Amino acid sequence: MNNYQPPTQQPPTPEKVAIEQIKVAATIIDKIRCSQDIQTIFTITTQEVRRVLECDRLLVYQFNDDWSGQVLAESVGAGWNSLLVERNNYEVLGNGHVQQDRCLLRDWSQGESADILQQDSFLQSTQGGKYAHGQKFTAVDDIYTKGFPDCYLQALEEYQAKAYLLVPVFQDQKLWGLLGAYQNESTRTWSDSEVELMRQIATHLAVALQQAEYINQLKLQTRNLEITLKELKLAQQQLIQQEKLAALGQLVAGVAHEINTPLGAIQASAGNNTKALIAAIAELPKLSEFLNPAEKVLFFKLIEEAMASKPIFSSSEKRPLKRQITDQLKEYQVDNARNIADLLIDIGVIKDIDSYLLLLQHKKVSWILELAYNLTRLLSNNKTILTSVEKASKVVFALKNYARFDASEEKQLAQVQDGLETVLEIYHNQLKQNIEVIRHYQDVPEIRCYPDELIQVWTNLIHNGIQAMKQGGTLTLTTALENEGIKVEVVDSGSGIPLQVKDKIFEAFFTTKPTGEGSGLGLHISKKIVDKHNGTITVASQPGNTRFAVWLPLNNEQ
Amino acid sequence: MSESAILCVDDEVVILDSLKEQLKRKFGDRFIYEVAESADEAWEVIEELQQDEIQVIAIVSDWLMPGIKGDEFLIQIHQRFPQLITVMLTGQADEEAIERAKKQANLHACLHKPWTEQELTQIITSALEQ
Repeated sequence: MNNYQPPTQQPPTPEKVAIEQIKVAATIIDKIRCSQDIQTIFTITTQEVRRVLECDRLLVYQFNDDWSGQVLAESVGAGWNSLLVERNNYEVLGNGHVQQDRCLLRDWSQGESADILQQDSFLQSTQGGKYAHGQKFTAVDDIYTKGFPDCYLQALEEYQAKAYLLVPVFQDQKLWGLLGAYQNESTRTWSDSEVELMRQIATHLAVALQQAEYINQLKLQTRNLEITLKELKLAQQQLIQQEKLAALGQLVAGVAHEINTPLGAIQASAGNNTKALIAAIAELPKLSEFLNPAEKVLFFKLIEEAMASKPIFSSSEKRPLKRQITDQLKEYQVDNARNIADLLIDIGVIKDIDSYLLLLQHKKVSWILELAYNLTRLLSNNKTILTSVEKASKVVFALKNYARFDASEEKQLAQVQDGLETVLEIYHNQLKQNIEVIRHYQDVPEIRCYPDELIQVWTNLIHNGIQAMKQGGTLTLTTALENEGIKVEVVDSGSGIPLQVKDKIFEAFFTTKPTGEGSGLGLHISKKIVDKHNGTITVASQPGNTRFAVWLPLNNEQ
Repeated sequence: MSESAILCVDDEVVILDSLKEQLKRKFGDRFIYEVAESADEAWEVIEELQQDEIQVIAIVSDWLMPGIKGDEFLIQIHQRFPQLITVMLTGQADEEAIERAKKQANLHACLHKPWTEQELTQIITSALEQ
C-alpha cells in the first residue's frame, strides 16, 4: 500500500496554520530573548511577526508619559507608506511610499517626534485608550464597521489600514506601548491563534525591552565607573607626586644646611690658606737668620711629623691633650704655655713634645711656631676643602637620586644597600642629632628593581623611624638573604605603633601625625611600590622596637 | 691677669677648625680660642675656663646641632651670662629661631653659612667695641 500523498494544493487548514504560528512564535520569542540590543529586538519583532501574519504593516508604538506616542519600529510591505522617515535615503517614493518591504526604526537620538510622519493624537486624548484599563487586545476586521470617531478613522486612513490587530505592551503594570498589525489590502478576520501570537510576542517584547534597558543602564554604569576609575588613578598619581614634593620640601631645609656647612668650611679654608701662604712666604727668608743649622733640622722634622699626623681630633679629645701639653710646657718654663700648647695641637704636634725643647725654649718660639702653623695649615685646610667638596657632592648626588622620577623607567640591576645609603645621606643631618645608626648589611646580590622607587620606600620607613624617635634612639638597618629574596629591615627604638592603628597604617590617607606633617600616603605608596616588585612589607611593633620588614624576590622578571 | 676667650660651638669639626683659624689669624694672642662640638660640651668648656679664671666673652654657635638647638642654647647662656656676646651661625635660615634668639638671648648677630672671614671678624670686632 502506498502511503505517499502528494503535496496538497489546498490552503492549509486553520489548525495547521495555528500550529505553524505557535512554532514560529517560539522561534521569534527565542530570538527576541537572546538579543540584548533594542534595535535588533525591534527589527526581529516587526519583520518576523509581519512575515508570519502576512500582514501589510507591523509596528511597535511607544507611549510617552503624557500619552502622546510614536512609532518606534515598523515593518511595512512594498508599496505602502512608511510611518517613519526614511533615514537612509533610499527607495523612497513620494509621500513616504516604500518600494520594497522595509523595516524601519526610529532614530532615538533625534528627539521625541523626529522621524514620525504621522502623529497620533487619538491615543493621547484617551490616555492609552482602553488598553490602559485592562483590555488585552483589539481586533478590528473592518475599520468602517466599528463606528470609530472621524479623527481616529482619519489616523487609520493615514496608516492605510482596513483592518488591524492591536495588543498592549506592558512593563510592570504600566502600559508601555502597542504592538500593531495592519491589513491594508483588504479587511481581515483575525483568528484566535493570531491574537494569541501577538499577545505572546507583546509579553516577551516587554520582557526583552526591560532586559535591554537594564543592560543599557549597566553599560552606562560600567562606562561611568571606568571613567571614575581613570580619574581616580589620575588623582592618585597626582597625590603620589604631591607627596613626593612635600617630602622633598621637608628635606630642602635640611639639605640647605647639609650643603652650606661644607661650603662654609671650603670658603673659610681657602681664605685661611691665602693668609697662611702670604705669611709663610714673607717669613721663610728669615729662617737662616733666626735658626742655627741644628734648629733648622729640628724645625723641618717638626713640620714633617705634623704633616704626617692625623689632622682632626674631636674637640673633646683635644681639650685634655691641650691641658696636658700646657702643664708639660709650664714644667719646661715655657712662657704663654696655654697658647703655645694650643698652637702645637693645631700644627699637629701632639707627642714627644720634649724632643722639640730646643725650639720651644727658643727666644723666637712664637715666630717659629707661627711659621710652622702657616705651613702645616696649608695642608690641613686643603684636606678640609677636599672632604667638604666630597660631602657636598654626596648630598647633591643623593638629592638627584631622590628627585628623579620616571614612570616609564625600566627595571635596573641595583644594590638595595645603595638606596638605603642614599636615604641615610639625605637624612644625615637629622640622624646625627641624637640617633645612632647601626648597619647590619649582609653581602646580598643586586636585584632587578626600580631603584628610585625603592628609595622612596626607604625614605618613608627611615623618615617615619626618625619621627618616632624625636627624643633620640637607635635606627637599625639590616639586609639579608631570605627565601630567595632580600629582606630589608628598618628598626627604630621609638614609642611604637599602637595595636589599634597597626592594621591601618598601609591604608591611603591614614596618618597619626598632626595635620600638615604627613599626608597619610607614605606607607601606602611604599606598599604599592613593594607590591610592584612582587615583594611584601610587614610591620611588627612594640614600645621601643618597631620593625618594618620589606622582602623583595631575587628573581623578579615579570 | 684675667684672660678672655671666644668659644665656637658646631657639631662639624671642619667648621670649628675653620672658625678658630679665622679668629686666631685676626685676633692672635688677644684671646683664647675654644671649640665645642655640642651645647653640653660647651658648658663643660665654660666650666673649665672659669676654673682657670678665663672669662668667655663671646660664643659663636651653630643652630642645627645634636641635642638642643642653637637658639635655645644661646638663651640659656644669656640667662647665666648676660654680658656674653652671642652670635648664631646657621646653614638654613630659621627666621623664628633667629627672632627668638634676638629677643631672649640678646643675639648680637646671625652669620649664614657659607660666611666670609670679614663678616665673622667684623661681627666680633663690633661686639667688642660696644
